[in-house]
Amino acid sequence: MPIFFRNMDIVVPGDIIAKGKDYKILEGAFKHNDKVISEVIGIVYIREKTIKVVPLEGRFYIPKVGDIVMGIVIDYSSISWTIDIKAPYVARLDASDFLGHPIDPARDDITKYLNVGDILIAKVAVADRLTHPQLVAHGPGLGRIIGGRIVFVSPQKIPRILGKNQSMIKMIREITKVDIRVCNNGYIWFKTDNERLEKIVIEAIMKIAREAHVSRLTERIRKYLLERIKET
Amino acid sequence: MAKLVKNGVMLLDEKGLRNDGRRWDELRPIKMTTGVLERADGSAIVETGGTKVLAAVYGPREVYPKHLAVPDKAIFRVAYRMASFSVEDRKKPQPSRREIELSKVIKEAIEPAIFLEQFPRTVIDAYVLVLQADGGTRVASINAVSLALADAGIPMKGLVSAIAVGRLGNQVIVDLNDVEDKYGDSDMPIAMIPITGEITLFQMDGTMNPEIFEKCLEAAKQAISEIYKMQREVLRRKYLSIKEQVLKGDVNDIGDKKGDTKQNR
Amino acid sequence: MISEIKKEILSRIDKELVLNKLASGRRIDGRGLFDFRRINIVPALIEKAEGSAFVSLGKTKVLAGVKVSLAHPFLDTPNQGIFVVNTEFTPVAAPTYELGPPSEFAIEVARVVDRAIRGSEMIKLEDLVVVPGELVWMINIDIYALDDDGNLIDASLISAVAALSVGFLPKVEIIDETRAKYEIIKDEKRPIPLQDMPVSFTFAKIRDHLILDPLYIEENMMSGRLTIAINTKGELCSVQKGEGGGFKLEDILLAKDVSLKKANEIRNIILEQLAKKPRGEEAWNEIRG
Repeated sequence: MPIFFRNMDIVVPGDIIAKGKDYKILEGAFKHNDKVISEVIGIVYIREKTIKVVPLEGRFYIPKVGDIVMGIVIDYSSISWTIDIKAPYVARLDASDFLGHPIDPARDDITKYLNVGDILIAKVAVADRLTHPQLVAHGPGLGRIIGGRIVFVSPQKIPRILGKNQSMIKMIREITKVDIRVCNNGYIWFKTDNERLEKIVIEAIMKIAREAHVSRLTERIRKYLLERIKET
Repeated sequence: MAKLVKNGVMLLDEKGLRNDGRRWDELRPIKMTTGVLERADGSAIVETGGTKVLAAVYGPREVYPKHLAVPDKAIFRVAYRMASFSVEDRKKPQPSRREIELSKVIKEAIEPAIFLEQFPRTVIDAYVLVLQADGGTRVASINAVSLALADAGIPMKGLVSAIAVGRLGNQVIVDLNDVEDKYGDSDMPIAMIPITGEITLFQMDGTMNPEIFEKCLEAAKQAISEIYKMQREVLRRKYLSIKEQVLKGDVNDIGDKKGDTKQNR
Repeated sequence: MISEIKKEILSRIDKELVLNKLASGRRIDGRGLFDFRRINIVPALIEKAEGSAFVSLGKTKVLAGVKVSLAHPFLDTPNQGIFVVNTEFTPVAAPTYELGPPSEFAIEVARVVDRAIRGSEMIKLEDLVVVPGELVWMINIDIYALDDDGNLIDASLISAVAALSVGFLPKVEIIDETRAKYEIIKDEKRPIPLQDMPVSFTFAKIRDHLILDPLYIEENMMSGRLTIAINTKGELCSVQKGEGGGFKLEDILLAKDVSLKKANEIRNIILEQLAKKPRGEEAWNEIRG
């Protein structure tokens, strides 16, 4: 069964990755007459009989149940907020899913808790094709965010920011000692009082996003961070 | 070789060369660039000789007005507009009937290539602005929108590649410029999804006998595969050059590329 | 239907970042309160236009084109040519722009640019006359926004004056004056007759801060906008206050001072760029980056 690309090559839409009936496609490619073809510009991963293409472009986010997302409150009703999570659909957060208990709309003004312009980290509870995504923001690590800095990267790059088994993000946290939260919809939030560290974290993130397709990324980032920290 | 002159314009000389010195099947110099705009999700500039078009893509994003949304897939919209200074006699900014027709055929040429079902109830918008027109603007637009869609990370069955072929007398020509479009005997723009072989744009004006018609189709297929190769090369180039830099040991270059990261949002 | 340019809802963190930096006299892109972003001009890149200029102001990009044609002069100015400024802020430039006729904002920008050019008398309208009272040159300046990262007003004026500066008029040969028969000889041309070059300074008011050349994110936070144009004689030749809020008198005087101080500097940048750059097809190398 011929394969036309090597593991971790760059592929573009229309590239024929392999020919053969029994390849399993995980994502980013489709089958046409026994040919496995890339749908996007991305990195192709070929492992035995499975093929996947991880996209390198794309600023949009498609919500998946269980994802952790950062959102901005853009509107509200008496019992819920409308949240922009940088997806082609706005998300809903019911007041009870934020507070952890039901509210009385006649007596409670929910803008006391969250208002337009506020930022929060939430989990995607419902994401099907029929309704707007539903969020929950009640529980450890979820809720309103105050202060800090936000960096946005293409959501496709988030897996690289996290790394295999969170290895990349854990390494960054360890070396910089900065509290960093990474969200699946492309938002990365962190907080530090040290202006120099702030710059280093942002630059490291930008570097990962830019070089996501070049191998030995983790090593390069580790080396980069250690050098920069030394300069401080 | 018979000369061909019309309205005082030399379309073919005794050696069979065209008014700009090209052979019958020679393409004008083509340059393609992607990721040229910040605000757009995807963008591309395609230059075919003197024709220069800019394409910007947004999406998938929420549809406004809401009633246009379709439950099982994204809708795709295209607006083709010519800058008023792109042609010899200033074109008024209001959309002409020609621009409206071209918006429609360009959309229909590209739509079949997009995996619209992956994004129900959303819209993908493509805008094309012709900055300079020298023949073949609709096919240049199709080539540009394809690249802009890929630049925006929108999954496609394959790129769409297009070219205009035609005839001057009995001579088939490929990639008509403005003069040939105006004074030639037939102009046939064609677009194809090379990966599946589907022809998604097919128009013709003027007249053609069946024999020349078939020769034109053959010539178009050949030209389209050349253009397709160029498009794929452009998309790959950006990432290959970064890879090169990194492997050369350019460790401190963090170069903030458009769209990759934004510090404040 | 006239569409409005929607403001984006900014997060609290974005706003705080901008305000914190302003409190220490800086902007989020490192600039001082009254610094312009980098101005880059690619002149005469559109061959079918009689003048053109692509301008980038930081990441904001606009493209202006000049087209000339012969027309009847206006009845009340029989010995003057005509010029018209038009702006097209199409969806190419930003996700919030809609198709359709120019928005109120686009029209405002066109008119502000027009007044700066008219007020400074940049174009010698008397030198555009071909047959007095009968035939004059009409100059159409069309400005297309390509990428909106803030301050389309100043970017538009720079592109308009740059396009005019490299613009030309073809020769007109009168064949039969009585029957209005004339011939345009494109190969013989003269530069568009100019005698000034206005430069504009657009300020944004955010809380108590006044800043020059706002970014898109700063425009989303501003309560008021003030544009001042200065001609080569050091006179104000156009002023426009925009957006809802208000300015204190001190703000206006400060803006006037900053504009007067920087006018020559900006004008020199424009002239330098126009002198150095390649034209025509070669100019596109810079666009391709």
